[in-house]
Amino acid sequence: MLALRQFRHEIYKLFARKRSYIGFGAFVLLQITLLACLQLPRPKREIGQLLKRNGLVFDEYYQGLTLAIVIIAFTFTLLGALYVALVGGDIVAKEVEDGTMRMVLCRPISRFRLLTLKMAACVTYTILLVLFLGVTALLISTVYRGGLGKLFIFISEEDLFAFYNTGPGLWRYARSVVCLAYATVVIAALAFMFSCFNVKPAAATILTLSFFMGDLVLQNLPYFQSIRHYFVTYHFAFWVRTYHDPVPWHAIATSVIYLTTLTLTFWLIGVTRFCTRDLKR
Amino acid sequence: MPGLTIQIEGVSKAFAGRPAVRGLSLSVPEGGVFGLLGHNGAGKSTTLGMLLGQVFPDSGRLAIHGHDVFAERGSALREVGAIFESPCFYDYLTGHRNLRIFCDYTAPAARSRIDEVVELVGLTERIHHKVGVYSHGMRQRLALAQALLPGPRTLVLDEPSDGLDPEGIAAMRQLIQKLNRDYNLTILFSSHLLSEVEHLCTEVAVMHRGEMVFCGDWSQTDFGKGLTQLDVGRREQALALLNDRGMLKESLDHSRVVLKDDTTTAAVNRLLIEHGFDVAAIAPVKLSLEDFYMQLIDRPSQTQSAGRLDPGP
Repeated sequence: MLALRQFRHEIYKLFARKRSYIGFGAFVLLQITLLACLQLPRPKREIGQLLKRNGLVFDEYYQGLTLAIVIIAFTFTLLGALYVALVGGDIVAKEVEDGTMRMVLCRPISRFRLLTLKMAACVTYTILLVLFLGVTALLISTVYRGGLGKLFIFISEEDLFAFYNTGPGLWRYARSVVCLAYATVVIAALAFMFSCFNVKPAAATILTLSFFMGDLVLQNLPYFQSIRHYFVTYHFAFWVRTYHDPVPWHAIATSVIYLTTLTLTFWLIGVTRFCTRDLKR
Repeated sequence: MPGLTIQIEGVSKAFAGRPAVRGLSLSVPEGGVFGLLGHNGAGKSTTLGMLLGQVFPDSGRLAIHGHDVFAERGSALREVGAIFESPCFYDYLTGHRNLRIFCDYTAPAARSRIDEVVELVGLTERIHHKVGVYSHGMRQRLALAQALLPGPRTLVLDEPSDGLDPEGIAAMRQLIQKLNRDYNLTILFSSHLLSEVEHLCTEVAVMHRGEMVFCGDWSQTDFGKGLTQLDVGRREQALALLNDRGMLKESLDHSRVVLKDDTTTAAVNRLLIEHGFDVAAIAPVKLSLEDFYMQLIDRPSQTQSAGRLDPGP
């Protein structure tokens, strides 16, 4: 019961800060902007041609579901990772920097328990943010286009070309958003780990983003194609693979295990470091 | 005979090879107000940090209420309240919410208990305002409230009066006295304000460059014993007379002398009057803690305890 109360306070603290919910607002703005851009003649024409070449009717597929996937992929790349890294990087380092961590640790609470609470809050924020992103992307694009329509997805890097009717499409969309939320936890965990070291909050965020950007760039270099399954961002993209038909469950399970192991490792390294470091102004 | 609340035994700590605390041993008796003095970098905050389990010692042992701070952190800190030099809170939350958060990390406090403590520290009217708009004095009082909420037996205060205006310093002093007197709290506090320590503390420990150079009740030492203010006409002849009679130990400056242990100012006065000297003033000089501290810092060669300190500056 006490743990629940403490967890609630951690969440409260997280959402009481402007920058936490500004992230949500920024996403909505970005989604609306992207949606407006997708209504320009050129993107409409190019997507229309792609659909037409494959015998699909433009007006049936250029609707809420298809646009929501495009929006979610862009907004997450542009802002999602940044906000998660920002919150994860702040969660411990900012409290140490502000001095509130020392105040908290005057209490007979163990560092392990405190960090577990903070990690739980960080994971909750991450999942909520991505789910919010998924729901608002679908809502905005559906309202804008006047319906859900059918789902169409094409990603050449993943050899993914799929189209589904509204019902199965909606189910696949919901499932992929949940998977994206799960995958994003690894970013939060890495930021959390850096945050537990004796660094400034901004440094933890920058290190996290640098790690993922570096990983993404290397993974996409032709030289590393044969070993791309060792890269985090390769497994991170498992949410997209849920659109394959049939679903490659084995590959997805491998990615989930890989990301889960990595998340726990990052958390453990962070906790170990924090539990053995001196806290002094 | 009161028991010991805090025990520090042979504690050392170095940061990046630079010693911050060296072989510190200290005991704080129950029910007293104990002052920890020292210059910046003397090791006071590191000592308090170790005592609260926030800084890991390289060697030695620290215990509160008989529980090892690191092996039994929960038991050791259960009845301890602490505040730091610059109390830090979640500025974007209200004072009340801050108190609830800090409480809930260990043992939730009832609303009535929070109200009671808030009233004690005089923050009732502003407790529902965001901490970001609090003055430094209000933050100190809020810090004291969070320290008092768990119902501690011991308070550890790191520079509680630092940055306060004279009014705030006086209020903080009265509050500390009240807590010690009415609630029988043992209080360990560090301060640069020697006059505050002098007012409040029954015992002090003085640290210098990571080592303890004095521990005990400084007023019971021989420090300043026999030091007398003597304003007298024909001073040189008067001093010669006192010397001849074996009453004078040392003449310090134009008005201060050190009398021998068995000599009283009344006897000196009588003698000088009998020999026709004009005595304008003669009185024992009461030295302050600051004098005592400065003398220690000038000669911090070895740890001294009450009753073994060299007399007079």
